[in-house]
Amino acid sequence: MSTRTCIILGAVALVAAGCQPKAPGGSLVLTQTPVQAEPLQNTTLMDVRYPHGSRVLLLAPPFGRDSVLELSRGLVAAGDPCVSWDGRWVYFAGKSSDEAIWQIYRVNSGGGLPELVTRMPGGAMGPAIAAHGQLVFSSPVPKAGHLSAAQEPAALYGQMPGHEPYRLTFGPDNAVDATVLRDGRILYVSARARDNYRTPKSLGLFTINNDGTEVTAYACQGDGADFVQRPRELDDGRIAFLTAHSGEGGSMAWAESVKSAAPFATRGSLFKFGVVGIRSVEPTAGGEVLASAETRSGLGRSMTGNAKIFRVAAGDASLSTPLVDDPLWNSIEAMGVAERPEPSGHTTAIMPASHYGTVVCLNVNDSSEPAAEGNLAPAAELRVFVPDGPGLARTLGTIPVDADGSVILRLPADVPLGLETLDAQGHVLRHQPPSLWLRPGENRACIGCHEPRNHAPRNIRPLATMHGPAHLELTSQTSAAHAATP
Amino acid sequence: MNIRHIFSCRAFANNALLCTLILWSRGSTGAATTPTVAAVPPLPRISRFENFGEKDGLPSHKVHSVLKASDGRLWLGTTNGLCVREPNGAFRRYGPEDGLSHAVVLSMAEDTESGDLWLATMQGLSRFSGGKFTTFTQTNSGLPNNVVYGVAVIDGTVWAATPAGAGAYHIRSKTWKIFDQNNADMEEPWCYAIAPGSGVVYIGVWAGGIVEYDPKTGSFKAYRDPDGDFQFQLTPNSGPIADITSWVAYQDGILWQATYFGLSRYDTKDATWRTWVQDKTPLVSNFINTVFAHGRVAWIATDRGVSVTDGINWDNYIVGENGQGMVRTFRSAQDPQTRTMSTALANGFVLAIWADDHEAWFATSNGLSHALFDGPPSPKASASNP
Amino acid sequence: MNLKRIIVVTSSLALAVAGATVGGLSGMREHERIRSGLPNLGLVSCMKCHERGLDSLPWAKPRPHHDSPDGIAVSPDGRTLFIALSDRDEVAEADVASLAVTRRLKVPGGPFGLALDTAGNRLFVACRNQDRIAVIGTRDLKELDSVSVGIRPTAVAYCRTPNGERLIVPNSGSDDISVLSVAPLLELTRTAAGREPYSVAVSDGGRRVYIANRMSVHERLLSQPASEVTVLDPSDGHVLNRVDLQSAHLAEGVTDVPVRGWVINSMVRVRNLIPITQVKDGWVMSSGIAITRHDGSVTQVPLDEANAYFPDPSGIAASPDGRRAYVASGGADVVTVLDLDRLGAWLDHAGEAERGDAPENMALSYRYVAARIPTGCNPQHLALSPDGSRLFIAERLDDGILVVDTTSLKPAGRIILGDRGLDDPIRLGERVFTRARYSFQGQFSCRSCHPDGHVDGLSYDFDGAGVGDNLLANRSLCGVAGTEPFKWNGKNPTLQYQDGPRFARVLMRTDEIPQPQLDQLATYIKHLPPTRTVPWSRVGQPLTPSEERGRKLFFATRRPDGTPIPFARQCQTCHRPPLFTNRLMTSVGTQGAQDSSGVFDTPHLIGVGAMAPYLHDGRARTLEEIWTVYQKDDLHGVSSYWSKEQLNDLVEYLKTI
Repeated sequence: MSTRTCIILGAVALVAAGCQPKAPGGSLVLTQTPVQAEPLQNTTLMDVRYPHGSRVLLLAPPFGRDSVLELSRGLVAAGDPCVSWDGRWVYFAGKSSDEAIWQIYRVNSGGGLPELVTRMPGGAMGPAIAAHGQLVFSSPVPKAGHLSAAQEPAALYGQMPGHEPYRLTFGPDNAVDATVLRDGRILYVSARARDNYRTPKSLGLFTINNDGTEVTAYACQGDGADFVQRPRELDDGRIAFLTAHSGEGGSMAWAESVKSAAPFATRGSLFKFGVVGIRSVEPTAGGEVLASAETRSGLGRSMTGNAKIFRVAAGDASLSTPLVDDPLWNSIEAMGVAERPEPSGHTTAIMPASHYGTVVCLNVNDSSEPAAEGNLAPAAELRVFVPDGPGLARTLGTIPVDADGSVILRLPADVPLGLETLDAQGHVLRHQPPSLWLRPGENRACIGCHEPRNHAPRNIRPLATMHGPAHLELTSQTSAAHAATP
Repeated sequence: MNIRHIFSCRAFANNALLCTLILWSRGSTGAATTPTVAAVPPLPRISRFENFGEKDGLPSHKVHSVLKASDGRLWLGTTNGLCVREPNGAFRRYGPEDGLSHAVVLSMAEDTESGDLWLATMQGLSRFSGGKFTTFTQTNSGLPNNVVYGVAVIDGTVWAATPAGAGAYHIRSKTWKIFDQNNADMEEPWCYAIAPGSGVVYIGVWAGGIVEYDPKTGSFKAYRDPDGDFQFQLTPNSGPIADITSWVAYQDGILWQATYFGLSRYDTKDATWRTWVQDKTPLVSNFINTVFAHGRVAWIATDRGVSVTDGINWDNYIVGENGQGMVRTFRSAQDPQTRTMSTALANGFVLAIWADDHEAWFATSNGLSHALFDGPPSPKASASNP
Repeated sequence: MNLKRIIVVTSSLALAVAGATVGGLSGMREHERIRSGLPNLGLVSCMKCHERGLDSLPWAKPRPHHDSPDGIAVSPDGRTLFIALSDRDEVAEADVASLAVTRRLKVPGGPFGLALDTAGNRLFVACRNQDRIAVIGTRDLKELDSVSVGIRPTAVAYCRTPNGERLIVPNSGSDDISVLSVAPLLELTRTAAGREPYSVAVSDGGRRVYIANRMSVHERLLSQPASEVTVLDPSDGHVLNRVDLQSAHLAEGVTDVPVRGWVINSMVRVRNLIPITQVKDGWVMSSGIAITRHDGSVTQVPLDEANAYFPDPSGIAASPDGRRAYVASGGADVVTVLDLDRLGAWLDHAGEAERGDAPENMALSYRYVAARIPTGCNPQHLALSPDGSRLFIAERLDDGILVVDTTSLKPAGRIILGDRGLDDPIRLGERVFTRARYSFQGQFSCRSCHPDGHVDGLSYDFDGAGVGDNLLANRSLCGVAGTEPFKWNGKNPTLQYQDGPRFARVLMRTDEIPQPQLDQLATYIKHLPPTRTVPWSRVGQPLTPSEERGRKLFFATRRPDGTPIPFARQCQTCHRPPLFTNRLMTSVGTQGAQDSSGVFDTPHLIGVGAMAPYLHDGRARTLEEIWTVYQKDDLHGVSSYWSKEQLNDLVEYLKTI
């Protein structure tokens, strides 16, 4: 290729880049999986969700077959799309070959060839876009059947355009299905903390800031079916998600929602009618949702049924005529392509050079859960530990609790932290398995241990602020590993 | 002159002599310095006492001050906090834990404009308003000193008598003035009491007599013991009986001065003085803690009981050796009479009094006494002009 | 030869210039050292001390005025609306049916609060800037009478009592309440209020009035603040009760709900005693209402939701049937509709513990919030038509009155008062100042801590390198122009720096304010004039003798015995007029155990009388305490020779600055 050709091609590429086609107004991004796809064995969660042949399409109004543009061209499987807030880009997970691992791609919403965005060793899935173009995704891709537990759990990562990815979550369980709330937080699915690692995990919704700080339980903490998937923020402030009983899998899922005004007290059915086999729900700008539902078979298995896309308004009493119904395909995900207000950002307080974070607990005795064996004694000490293999923990240290129950701790950053309150005789009062973390330089606070949800603190000066924080280090000599459960 | 002058000298424990000039005229009518007898109404006559102590719910046996507010509520300043008598008769205490500046409440005054109560305590000046205390101290405000002996509210200004001068807090402008030996006609800054006069303010100054302050002109006038010595009363009826003023009270043109050496009365209309000492006059004791004026009647709280007088007639309420109540009556043209009462003051050491036409309340060192009057209410003494 | 001479001359000149320069610099440093008392100051601007006059400052210059609606009052027949336009010195009359402004009247003095008599014949106007109540005849729309009251009256209420007609006026600047008779128009009493009495509601058939005090008061550093609701008997002005709303501030609104025996305050539930490690879950503050019964019992409940906030609650109105209340959230441009039936049912059902927990329970309000009505910019005052069918919302920074049909809760029209003033950068800046969208989840605005640009009287523990070691008193923004650097640590050379990335990181916890809006915000703040602390009648008047003595003390260079006062410890050195700051860092011996430094920015003193508490962490509740409690070794001015009278004089003078 001559230099002149290169220059011309480069110029063309530049022009093309500057004239990125935009999807026609009212277009949908659609994920379709083959109806007759064979399930793969010993493979990943994504391979089950999006079997070979799965594709991401752009569907322009009136949504006929002649107005379809494949956005995942060149990939053997694709799905899990997400549209950027300016409506110009579609991000999705895809595989370039059967042997390849899942990565995140992006393509111009008006069409074009997908562009590889991530190169994560364990693969990447679940793209979401936060403020300022920050891509959020999960990595590695969990093995099939290992959604809630894994030897190497999937963590959330962030990645600014043109930059290397950075890890956001540090919990002991998979962090998947991220979506970005209007207030800028990342809402995702992970396992609820549980005392015994052998206890089956149940899933709940959590939030972090877009720098991984302030990990917080958001909803679905044991108040319903414990399989939770695909949370989405609706225009009316509700959070919609799919749910099912453990072991039934996503194809038997139904849609529920919580009101953001009281997420722990308002869990209920998303629709006014009963329907199972919901594959996805996505908000639209008009306040409706686009739902993918299987309606053909009571079995509701995706391999035998046919998933269609429905537009559902808040007051609808039943599913109406499908918006997208292709008998050869399961239409499992659909979302509008339109410019929407970008979520808020978050000015990070992380200090990358630091290896510690600081946490203040206002009163370790302030808890929504009773102490072990009904022990009414106030906590005298707080023990901090980190996981050290399945069922094992390593104690960082034990510090005295101030008279008002407050403590301030300076703790290692980016490791899951467990906490136990102890009475004066050393008996464990309350046990918090390792599930929280601090980012470097992060200062955060909690009201208590197992604190009441959605509560602001009482305006009382904690005694612990009158002295400096207790420092606990994570070293190989910290302590011997011991059973994590008291 | 139809007045007999009686000179009396009495040895004190310290061998000092207190010489007092007493005026007492049996069957006499008033001269220029004496009210007209015929026009003087009878003094209110106490029929019995109701007494209250710690067993009745008082927070302390020692009651320093008593005040019945314009809304009818009775307030007590005790050594253990402020106390109010509820409508059901129960006593409710407020202490430092409620915001009161100090547990010892020495004096109280009501701001009739707002209904607020101002409290002189051993550690600052407190305002009790709408159930809430606000405290002024020498460190957080312009109050001259934290020990506040007396308090009065006069024309929108709260006066506080302290050992470092009289502090005047103007409620509207929230500004303080301090009157002491540097800017007022005071011998020294130690003030014990404040009383509103007619357009003037009377400041009772320890060892400084009485200082009259005219807010309009900003001028001062001191009333001092003419003989200049608290141990002697060489010039009776010519000025304050002593410079050591323990209390002052004013009503209907009459200024009363309490001292530990006798009682003085100043008629502002004709600028005349009368003075009394114990033994040679009906005054029950020279040691006067406070004096309360209602109309032209003075209620005198002493270490030996209570004297009630209009300057002519006297009733002394004392506690006998056996604890019995006794009243000794002095009337013009009559011999003194002593009568035993069915009830007695809670204690003879009386610290403060509040009275109106219907009742009187006595703060004593060992309880609170409530006096009920005989017969129909006497016409308010101020109605008659001698 | 010539060359040699030239070289010699040139060298000599160069040496002389160099010498003069070095000497001059040395002299300047020595001048700075002596005059500031600070070693190693380095070269600083001469303007630090040799400040220009105040006339050149932005707040001293003329600025555009707007038709910002303040207080509103509806005629008894519901047909006419009266609107106070304090920025215009006008009162407007509007026809409700046609939504047209029918007449305007010039009312000097910043008309802010309005009330009508029972028949609607007389309109009473609280003129905030001239400390007076004006009486307007509504038929001719003419001013009939006027009377002076306390400093900065913000509201007026009319009621009939057994003793006659009464007006109740909260004087926000003098912290007291005027009780007036109407005929004749006389001030009968002036009663001490809490701090910044701001609004008033007549209750219990005219037997009580409730006055909301906007600012909170705390007894000592790090104790819980409370805003007072002062309850008066309007017939004689006697104080019946002082109800404390714990941890409440900016309690600006109050309304009576006679059907239920409630009085409801809008309020902010502040959490200033907790280190500000986060904003999430209302960690810094949240909005709510306080329900006070006539027995004085109070229940606070949130206005906010778990993940949505409605800050700067201000105006509040209750429907005549007592079934609804409306609360304007000036920071969110929303009016919240409260279902009082549901709220009452919850109150009846909730136990004591649940009621006690309610102010912190961010997931409670969905039980009783019926709707959120979007409004124009910065809604503050509200009024309901007498039959409750129309809600009037003063959209302060949009120059309009939004009329809402209370049946459908939909807009029924808008009364246009002005052009919104969007070409005025000061007003645009005020929009930024009052909007909460620049904080995480829109939880609070600049105004939430700086009402009217002033202080909120609280100290906050800001997030820093650690937790619990950065307690700082709020500082007023009024009169702040020209006093840079900002912040107690003097790290912010400009307002943009202060309010931009730094605030986004340590307080707002979201994106920093975009540069255009940040510039507008800085413009607005620079135009905030100092707070007036003396009565209007005393403006421009000579000092009183006490104030004059205090002034001499402030500028004293020698003790009475002639001993010189070191320059560095003279008041005027650091608090140098005209701004009363030399804008330098200095130590006055106030470093606390938790403070990482004892050197702080020298605050300006213009309006200092209204800026309590004092010192960097707010430890001094009053000006007196600066010297009676927290003075150390005469480091904060040489005060050891002062008598108590002199200290009082100094305080009186400071209150006039």
